[in-house]
Amino acid sequence: MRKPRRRGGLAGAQSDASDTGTAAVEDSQPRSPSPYRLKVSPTRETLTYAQAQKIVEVDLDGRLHRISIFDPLVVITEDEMTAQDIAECNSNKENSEQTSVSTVVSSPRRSVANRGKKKDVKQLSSSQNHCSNSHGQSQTQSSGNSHHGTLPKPTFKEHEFYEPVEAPPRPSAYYRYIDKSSEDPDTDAEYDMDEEDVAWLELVNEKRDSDGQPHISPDTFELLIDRLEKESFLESRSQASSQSVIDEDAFCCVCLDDECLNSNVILFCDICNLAVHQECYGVPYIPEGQWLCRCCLQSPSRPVDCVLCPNRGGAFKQTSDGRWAHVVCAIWIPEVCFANTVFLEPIEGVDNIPPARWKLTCYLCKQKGCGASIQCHKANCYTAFHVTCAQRAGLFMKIDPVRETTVNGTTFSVKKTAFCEAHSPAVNGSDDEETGGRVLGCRANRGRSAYMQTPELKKQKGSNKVDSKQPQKKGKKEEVSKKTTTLLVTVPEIPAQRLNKISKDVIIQKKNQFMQRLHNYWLLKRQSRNGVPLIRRLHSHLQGQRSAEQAEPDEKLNAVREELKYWQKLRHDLERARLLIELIRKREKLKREQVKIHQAVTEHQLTPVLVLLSSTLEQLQEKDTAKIFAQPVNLKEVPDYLEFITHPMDFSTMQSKLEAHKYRSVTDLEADFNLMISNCLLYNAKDTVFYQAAIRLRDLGGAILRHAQRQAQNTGFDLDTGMHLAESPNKNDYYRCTFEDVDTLLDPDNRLHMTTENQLRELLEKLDVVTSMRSSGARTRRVRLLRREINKVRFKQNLKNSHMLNGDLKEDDDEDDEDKEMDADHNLSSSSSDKDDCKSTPPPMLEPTGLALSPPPGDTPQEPPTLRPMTSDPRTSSCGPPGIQFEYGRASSHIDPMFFVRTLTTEVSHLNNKIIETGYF
Amino acid sequence: MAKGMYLEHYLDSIEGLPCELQRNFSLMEDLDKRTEAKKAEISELASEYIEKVKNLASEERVQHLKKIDSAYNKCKEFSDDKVQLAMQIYEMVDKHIRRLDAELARFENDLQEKLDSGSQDSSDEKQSRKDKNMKDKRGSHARDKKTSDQDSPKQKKMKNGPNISESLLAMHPSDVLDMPVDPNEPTYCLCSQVSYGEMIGCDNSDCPIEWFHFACVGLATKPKGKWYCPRCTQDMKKK
Repeated sequence: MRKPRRRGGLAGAQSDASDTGTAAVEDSQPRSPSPYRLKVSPTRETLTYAQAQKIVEVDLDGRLHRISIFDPLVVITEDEMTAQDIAECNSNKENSEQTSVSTVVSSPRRSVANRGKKKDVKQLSSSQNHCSNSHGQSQTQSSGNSHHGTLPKPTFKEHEFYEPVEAPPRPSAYYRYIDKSSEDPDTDAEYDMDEEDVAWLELVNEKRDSDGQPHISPDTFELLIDRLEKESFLESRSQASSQSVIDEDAFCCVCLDDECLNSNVILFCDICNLAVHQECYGVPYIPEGQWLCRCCLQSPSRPVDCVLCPNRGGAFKQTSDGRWAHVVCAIWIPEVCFANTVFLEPIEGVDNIPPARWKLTCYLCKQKGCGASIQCHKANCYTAFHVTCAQRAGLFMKIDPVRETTVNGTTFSVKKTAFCEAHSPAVNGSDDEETGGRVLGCRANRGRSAYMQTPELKKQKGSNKVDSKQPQKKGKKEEVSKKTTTLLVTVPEIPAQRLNKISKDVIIQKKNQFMQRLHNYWLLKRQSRNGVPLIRRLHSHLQGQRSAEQAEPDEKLNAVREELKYWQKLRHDLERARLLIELIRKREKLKREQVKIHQAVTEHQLTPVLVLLSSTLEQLQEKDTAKIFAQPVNLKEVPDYLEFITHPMDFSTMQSKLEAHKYRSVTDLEADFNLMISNCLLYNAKDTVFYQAAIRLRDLGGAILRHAQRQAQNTGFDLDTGMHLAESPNKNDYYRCTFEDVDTLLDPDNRLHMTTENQLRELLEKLDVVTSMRSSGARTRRVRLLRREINKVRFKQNLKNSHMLNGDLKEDDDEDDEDKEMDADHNLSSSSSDKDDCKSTPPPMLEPTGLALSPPPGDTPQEPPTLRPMTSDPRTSSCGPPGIQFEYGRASSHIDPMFFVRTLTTEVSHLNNKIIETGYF
Repeated sequence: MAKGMYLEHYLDSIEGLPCELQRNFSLMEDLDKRTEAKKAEISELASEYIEKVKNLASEERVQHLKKIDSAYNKCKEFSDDKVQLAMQIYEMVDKHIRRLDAELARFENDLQEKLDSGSQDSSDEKQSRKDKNMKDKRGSHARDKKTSDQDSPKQKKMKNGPNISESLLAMHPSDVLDMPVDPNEPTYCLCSQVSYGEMIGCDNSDCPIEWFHFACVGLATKPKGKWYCPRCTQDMKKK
C-alpha cells in the first residue's frame, strides 16, 4: 500500500500521516469489558530521544505503531482482532480515509528491542491475516469473550559480552525541503496518487490480470499522469486563452466593498472567480493552494439557484436542507441565520420565513412568488424587494454595528437598514460616497454600489430577468462557469503524437490501450476538478503565467526581448573588440617607445662618449641663453675678427665636430669650449655684454665640464673607440666630502704646498661639491668663502702670468682662463688699440684695462667675476656707452653684494641639480 | 516592424567590419614584421660596429652609425604607422559602437512608446494581476482605498514602467556595465584603473597615460581649452 494520502487542507492539519498512525496497544489491565482500549501511540515529534530509545516501532499494514517496551502485550485471538480492527478503523481518522482498503492486521510483535541484552522472543500471538473488505460486516464481536490459546514458552539467553552498537551519528542537518528548480522536474514525477487513482489502477490491473498482462506499477502511473499534466500545461500555455479576466476593482460581492485588509482579504474562487471577503464568506483562514467557493466545490456542474431570491450568481452557501441561498440574502432576511457564525454556514431558518414574506412581490424584478423579499425600512412604506435585486439596483442598504447592553451583558448585533428607492436618504448616500465613508463591516454600501452599477450588473446581472430567458443576468458566474467548462475540455487536449511521445517513456504491454484509458481517466479527473491542474506547482504557475500573458501578448514580447538580447550581444561583442583594439593601440605606442629607447641604448653602447659629450654640449648651450656663442662670428659684420682670433670657435662648430667624431674625450670638448670663451674675452672689451656673458658662461660651463669629466672618469671610456672600457674603473665618489675638508682647504696655509693651478682646481671642485649639498647656512657660508678663495687664487695666477707676459693662449692650462682673460686684456690694453665691439650694436668701446687691474691683490676680496663686474671702476660708468653699459653700472651700483651672492648660490645650486638630473649614467 | 528596419541597416553596415578589421590587422602585422627585420639588421650593424670600431676612421664610423640611424628612423616610421593604424581601427569600431548605441536608444524609445500607448488597456490587466495575487492568497496586502487612490498614479508610473518595458530594457545599460570583467582591460590614469565615469584626455599627444579619471586629477567639470596631465605639466615645466 502506498502511504496514505492527505485529505484536504483542513483535514490534513495533522501533519504527517505516516508518522501519526495510531497503534492498537493493549492496555495494561489485562481484561477490560470492552476488549482492548485503543491508545494513540505518540508521534515521533513528541518523543524525546530517551523515550524513543524505549519504543519499538512496528510497521503494520502500512501504519507505524510505536509500542513502549514496557507495555505488556496481550495475546489476542482472531475474533478479538477483528473487533479491534474495526474499532481502530473507526476511531482513527486516517484509517477512516482508507475506505475500501483491505486491512491486514498482524498481531503486534515485540521484536528485538534496541536494548539488545534482553533479546526476548516473546511471541505473543501467532498472527492472523484477516481481510475484511467491508467494515460493516463485523460489528458482532464487540463483546470480549475470547478463547485464549496456550502461550508458547519464551526462550531466551543472555549474552555476556554484548556491546551495544553505537548509535549512528546524527546527521548534522535535518531534512530540509528544497524547492525543485524548474528544470529538473522532468526527471521524476511530481504527481502523487490519491485514493481514487489507487482504486482505478487496481481495477485496471485486475482487468489486465485477467488478460494475462503484467500490472502497471503505481510509479508508472504517476509518471504518466505527471507527463500528461505537464503536457497540458505547456499546451494551455501556448493556447494562452485568457481565462478569467479579473477586474482590478474587484469587490466583495457580499458587501459590495472593495476594501481589502490584511485580516480580511478578498478571496477569489479559483473556478468562478467569485470575489468575497474572508469575513463575508466565512473563511477565517486562508487555505493554502486553491480556494473554491461552496457552489463550485459542491455543485460544480450545475449553477445553483437561491431559494430566497430569483437571482443567480454571487456568493452562495448551502442551507441546512441542502438547498442554496445567497449569503447576502441570508444576512438580510430577518428570519434566516447562519448556524455557524464563523464559517457562515449552513443557512438555517428558511422554513421560519413566514408565508407573508414569500408572497411579497419585489418591486424591482416584479416576479411573484419567487424568493423572499424584504421591505423598505421606512415606516408605512411596504415596498418589497429581493436583497440581491436591491443590491443590484443600488438601493440604500446599510449595516450598522450596534452594541446592546442587556442584563446578560454586552452583546453586539447589527442594525440593518434598507430603503426603497423612494426613501433612500440621498444626502446621506452621497455623503457616504464622497467621504468614501466606510461603515464598519459594511456589507451594503449604498454609495458604493450605486457607483458600482456596472460591475454589479456583471455580477448580479441575471437577477431580475431570470424569467425573460435572457441569461445575461446569469452574470459572471454563469459566464465564467461556461468558460471554465469549455476550458476544461480544451485545456487537457493533447495531440496524439504527444501522447505517443509521452508513452514512449514507459514500457508496458498493450500500451496504447492503456494509454487511451489513462488519458480518458485523466481527462475525467481533470474535469471533475474543474480543470485545475493536478500538480499544484503547475496550478499556481499557470495562474501567474496567465496574468503575465495578459499583460502583453507573450510571443510579441518574447520576440522583442529576443531581438533586444541579440543587439545587446552584438553590443557586447563590439565593446570587447573596442577594448581589444584599445589594447593594441597601447601596445603599438609602447612598441614605438621601445624603438626609441632601443635606439638610445644602441647609441650609448656604440658611442657612449659621444652621448656624454653631446649632452654636455647641450647643457653648455643651454647656459648660453643669449645665443651669443651659438653661431660662428659673422665675418662680414666683423671683418677684423680674424686679425685677432686665429681659431674661431662656437657651439655649432663644436656640434658638427662632435658629430664627426672629432672629439674623443671631454678634454677635447673642454679645450674648444675654453677656446671659444677666451676668443670672446680676447676680442671684446671688458665692459661689453659679450665679455660679461663669456665670464658667466665660463663659470657655469666650467662646472658642467668638470662634472662631465668626473662622469667620464667614473664610467671609464676607451678614448680610442669612444666606447666603454671592458671593465668599469673604480668609482670615485667625488661628492663625498665634509665641511672639515672644505675648511682645511680654505685655509691658505694648507694649500701652500700646491701650485696655484692645483689650488684652483681643488677649490673649484670643493665648490662644486659644496653647492651640490643641501642648502643650509653652513653651506652658503662656505660657498662664499670658497668663491673668495678661488678669486684670490685666480688673481694670484694672473699676477704671476702677467709677470711672465705670456701671451700664448694655446699653451695655457685650461684652468687659468681667468688668467688668460686678464692676460688678453692686458695685451689689449698694452697695445692700446681701440677695438670695435663687433658683436653688438652698441658702439665699441675700449676699456682701459690697466685700471681694471689696478686694485692691488688682496686688498679687497674679489667677488665672483660673473656678477661683480666693473663697479670697482667708477669711471666705467662715466665713460661707458650710454646703452647697456650704463644700465649695468647703475643697476649694479644699487645692488647689494649679498644679493649677488644669494642669486649666485641659487643659480649654482640649480645648475647642480640640473647636472645631477641629467647625469644619468 | 519599423524598428527592425534600421537595425537591419545597421547589420548591413557592420557586416564589413570583420573584413576591414582583418585587413587592417594584417597590414599591421606586415609592418610589425618589417620593424622586426629592421631591428635585426640594426643589431647586426651594431655588433659589426663594435667589432670593427678600432680600425675605423672617424668618417667610416660616422657612416656606419648613420646606417644604424637610418634603420632606426625606418623603425620609427613603421611604428608610427602602426600606431596610426591602430587608432584608425579604434575609431572605426568606436563609430560602429556609437551608432549601435544610438540605434538601440531609438529602439527602446519606440518600444517605450508602444508600451505607453498600450498601457491604457494593459493597466487593467496589471491590476487584475494584482488581484490574482490576492486570489492566490499570497498577496494579502492591505489596500486602503484612500491611500490607494493617492498612490495609484505614482505607483503606476513606477510599476507600469518596470513591469514590462523596464524589466526588459533595464537589461540594456546594466548589461554593458555588467559585462564580465576582462582582466586585460586597458588601464588608464595615474591610478592605473580601468576607465569608468568621466575621463579626460591629456592634450599632449605623447602622453604615456592619455586618459584620466576626473576624480584622480581633481576635476569636477570639463576644463576649457587645453588640459595637460600632471606628469606632462611637470615635464613641460622642466623644459
